[in-house]
Amino acid sequence: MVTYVVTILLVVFAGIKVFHYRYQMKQAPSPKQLSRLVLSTLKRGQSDHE
Amino acid sequence: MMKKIAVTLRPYNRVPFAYQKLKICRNCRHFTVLGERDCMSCGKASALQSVEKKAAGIVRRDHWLTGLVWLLLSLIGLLFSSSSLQTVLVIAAGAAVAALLWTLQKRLTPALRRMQLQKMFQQYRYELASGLAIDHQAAIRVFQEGDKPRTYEMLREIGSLVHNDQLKLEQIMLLQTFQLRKDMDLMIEPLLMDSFNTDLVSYIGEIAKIRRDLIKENTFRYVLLHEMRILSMPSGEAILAAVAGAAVRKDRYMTMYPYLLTRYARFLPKDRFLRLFKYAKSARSGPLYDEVMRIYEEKYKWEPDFQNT
Ligand SMILES: [Zn+2]
Repeated sequence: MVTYVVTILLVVFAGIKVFHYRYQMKQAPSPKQLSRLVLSTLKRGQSDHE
Repeated sequence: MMKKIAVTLRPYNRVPFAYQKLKICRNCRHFTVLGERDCMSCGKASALQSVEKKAAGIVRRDHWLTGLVWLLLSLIGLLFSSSSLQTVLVIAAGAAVAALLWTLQKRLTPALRRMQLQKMFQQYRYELASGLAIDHQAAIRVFQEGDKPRTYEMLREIGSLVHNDQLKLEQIMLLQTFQLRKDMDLMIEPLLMDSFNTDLVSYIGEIAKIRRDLIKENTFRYVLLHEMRILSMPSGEAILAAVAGAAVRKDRYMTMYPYLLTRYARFLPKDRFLRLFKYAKSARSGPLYDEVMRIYEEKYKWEPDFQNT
């Protein structure tokens, strides 16, 4: 009985992971977007300091 | 005029993307572009780590955790299996899940790392901004200690991420106190500002003389935009002529900026004018052609260099 439950858990775990990875892949920014994020954060940060 | 000092500048380390210059402290999450290993904020030794390494570490830890859960479930399944059918079932499911997750992880690791970087930059935006402000203060301290070249190098690093006129101006002011040489790792486009600035224009003039290759579209656009104000500077005409001399370097620039060349062709040195002459001759018409031919008739008609072109 335990073995069946565990097998199902394994499959469910894999499903969640796959779903999670797919989501992350779609959301992941390009290196260019990352640069832009940092530059805009620092631009705002600088004007806060002034 | 202030006496310029001879300096040696360390080469600038260029990276494909600006954020790759950032380091983060493992201990206090202080961000910096300056420190090599030790944290300037909390003082901990060898605590700095590049943000990319940090993100890679988080992703790796996540992969390990996934692997651990997989191992645990597979082991429990095997331990409790009461028949060979169950054993085969667990092994098959475990192997299939492992293959699937391993392939996905392998393929998605770069994207997952970028995701982590985004999280890091968003979560610690305050630390990021204050970290770079602390870097700037450190540069000012070095300046007050009298080490100008090192100050410039620090400002150059900070300037790769912080794009504001004050920082650009500070760099230009320092550069103007140095004896600039051809072999120095200099830059110009990152220092261009929106507004007119005489120090920037003087710097452009110097670069146009020693490193023509650094003068590109944005610089041409800048000098054309502020041409009238540059002309009101004592050496304004010479600077514009030097920039025109840089435009002669490529056919593309000569096509793009005929106005600049028409206005300042007269002030070009002979070798520059010869290049322009060859280009204008192939174009055969237009105001630039007329002006070049006029100058040729006046100054170079009997020069042997101009005969066989
Ligand atoms: Zn620290």
